[in-house]
Amino acid sequence: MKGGSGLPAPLRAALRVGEATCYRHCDRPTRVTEITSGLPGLWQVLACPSGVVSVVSYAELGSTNPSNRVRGALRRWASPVSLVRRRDLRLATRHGPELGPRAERWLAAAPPGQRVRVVYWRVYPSKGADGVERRLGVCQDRHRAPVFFFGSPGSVDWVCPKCSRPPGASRPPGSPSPGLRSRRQSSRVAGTGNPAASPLNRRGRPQAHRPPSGHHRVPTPLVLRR
Amino acid sequence: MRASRAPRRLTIVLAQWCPHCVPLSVKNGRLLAKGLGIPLRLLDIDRKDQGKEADRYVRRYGDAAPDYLIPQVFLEWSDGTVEHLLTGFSEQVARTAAAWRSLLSSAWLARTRRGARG
Repeated sequence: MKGGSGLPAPLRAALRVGEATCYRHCDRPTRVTEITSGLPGLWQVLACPSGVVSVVSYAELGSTNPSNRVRGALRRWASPVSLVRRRDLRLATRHGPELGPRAERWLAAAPPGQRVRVVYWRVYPSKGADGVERRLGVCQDRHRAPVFFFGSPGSVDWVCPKCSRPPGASRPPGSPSPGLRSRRQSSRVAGTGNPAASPLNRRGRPQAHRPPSGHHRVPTPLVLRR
Repeated sequence: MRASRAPRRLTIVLAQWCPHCVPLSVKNGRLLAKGLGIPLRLLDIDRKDQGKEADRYVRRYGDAAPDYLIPQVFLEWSDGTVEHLLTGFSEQVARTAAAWRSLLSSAWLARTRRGARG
């Protein structure tokens, strides 16, 4: 595979997402779904039971930055494709010492130039001209591939653009779609909506704590947030 | 060669409002710097006098993106090289905390400390 060689088991294990709660939508635990695609690495979608996406990540061992390939894959799954913007893709290089002893040993023996890179896709909630807050949603139990869309959870427009049904209304247990593998539904309810427990926001910024302005460059949002 | 170089300074690019940064990464950065016997430098992306240097570090040595992730941690060596050590985990603060724990107990750190002492 061009640019990447997938993700060997020790690294895959080290990068699997543990328990997490929904990002600034509800306090329910996220379901982590692994997606298969034409790319060799590990895709993980974190979404709450209502189908609100906290973050999508793609991890790969390789010699090049996979961001463009990740963007291409996401554009195939997003409706509309304009949902996938470069500024919403954020890169992180993962090194052996931070990934635990097994991954550290594995990476120490890896060929030179091979690096673990993770690309995160996080779309922040935003309010439109109508004042309604919209979020990234995913419908992934009724399709061969996930369908990402933007809407207002709980409203009439919170439906999958492909099947016209709310994403939370999943298939009966035990009948997963091909291409999608739900790995875990955490039973532990963690988090209290405390910003300190929230994942990184724009440049790691929790929205609730965001100052009114900053002197550093912040990309213009598609629509006004807050 | 490599054996002759030594750690010189630890730099963390952060923001005060980021829960992955403060207090988590500042506290662990202090531990790491102390263990290596080097100073810790904090570059706050929201401070005029530090933001540009923070951007430069991330662009040149770190995980650059139009809207990059923080914190990002760098180790500067006596030979002038800068090594990217860690970027915050977007999934959850607890995951960034776990990465710090692994880093502080890593074989890499033990080797680096032995080298720094030697």
